[in-house]
Amino acid sequence: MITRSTPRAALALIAMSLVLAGCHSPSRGGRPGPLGTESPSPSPDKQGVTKRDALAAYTGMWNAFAQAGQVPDPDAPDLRRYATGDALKRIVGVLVVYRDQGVVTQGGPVDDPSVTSAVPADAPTEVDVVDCGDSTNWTKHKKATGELIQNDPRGRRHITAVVKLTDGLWKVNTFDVGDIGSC
Amino acid sequence: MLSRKRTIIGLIVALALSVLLPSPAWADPFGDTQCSDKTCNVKAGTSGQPGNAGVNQTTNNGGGGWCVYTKLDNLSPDTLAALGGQPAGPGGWYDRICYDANGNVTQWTANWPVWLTTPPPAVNPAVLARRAESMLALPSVVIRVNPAGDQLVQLPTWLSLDPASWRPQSATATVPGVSVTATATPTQAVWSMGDGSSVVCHGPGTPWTPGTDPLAASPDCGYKYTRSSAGATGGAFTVSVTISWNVTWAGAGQGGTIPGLTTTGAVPVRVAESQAVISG
Repeated sequence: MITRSTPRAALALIAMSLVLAGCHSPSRGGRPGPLGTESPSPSPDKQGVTKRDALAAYTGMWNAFAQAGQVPDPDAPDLRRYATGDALKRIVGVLVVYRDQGVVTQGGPVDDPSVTSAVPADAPTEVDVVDCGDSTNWTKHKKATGELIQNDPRGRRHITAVVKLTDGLWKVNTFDVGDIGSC
Repeated sequence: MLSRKRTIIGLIVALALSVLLPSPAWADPFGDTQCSDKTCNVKAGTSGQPGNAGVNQTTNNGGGGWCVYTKLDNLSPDTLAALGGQPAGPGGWYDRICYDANGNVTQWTANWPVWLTTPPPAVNPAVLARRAESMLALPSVVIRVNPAGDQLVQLPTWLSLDPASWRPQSATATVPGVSVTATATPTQAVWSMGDGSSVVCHGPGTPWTPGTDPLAASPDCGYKYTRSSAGATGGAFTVSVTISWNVTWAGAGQGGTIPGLTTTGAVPVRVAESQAVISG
């Protein structure tokens, strides 16, 4: 739908095609698909693709966190695939500490994200996501014994995130997690 | 990763009551990513203020919290890149857990590696020793003046303390990685006899037992009144004793002494002229 032929728009178009390449093949590989998005149409409009890919990055980040937490492995490549900047920093930081303290996670979160805005409208590069993430089945354990770590409140948390087109891929750049019971 | 060395360094900001610490788990993985305070905003390369970083130093209720730092060695290049890069200059990455005065992990402390340009000070065992000292429960002083009943002028009075009043005491203060035990040992008892005289004894004294020659003096802690207490307030002398305790501490491969403690006790003692007994 981009009709202008400025270099910037051309770059965005190239970037978008990279996104499509990057996101479609993993989803065929059995990765969790985006939740709460419009179903892709044979000729998806740009907003729809953008939302789908941004949400795929969002859920991909949390799923990658859950996968990496089972090791725990702060260097898991999937984390870098779906998160960057402050978002990646936070998750890697937590995994470093988990590893140091002998903590692993089991299970994973259940997310229900949706897009609240995508800018700029004609060729979005930044998408705001809101979610009500549920950690009920995402538990922490002592790695040595598998023992569930008690006093570990879990539940539903209101989460907001900013997903940005980053080097041609949608990646979560920042997120903010509310208290348990905030949604 | 299996061979990673762990260096536990503790930092006491203000010592707290707790001996046992809870597991440092206080959130789900979602929550662990949260940095509701400045902790997560510690920028790589920021000059570390280990004494203050992220620690609530309020001293309400007579106690603050403390933080425990664990040095994170051998972080991979990928990890370092995600954390914002290895800062230039000297310093190190630390895993920090902070506790409040009750030993609970403080809610607002992020589960987060921090970069400190200067190592956090190790737990100062001498400071921890002060905490241990304050936990010492020294026994109350129970005085025994024998023979039972009124003391007699010119006859030996045996001064002694209940054994429980003269017994080494110890207490241990612990923060993760370091324990310090303070031990108080009684060294001397200064008896004020109420008639202006004092007696210094270096032990709890020996109780007089029936059958002992009344004219025999205590082998280690005694006195002989030379006047009656008839003129004293209430007709009795107030006999008081002050026990001095030597306090030593040991822990973390160090040790030392702490300025001493004292305990005191007092009893009224009536001293009668001996002829009263003879005539009686």
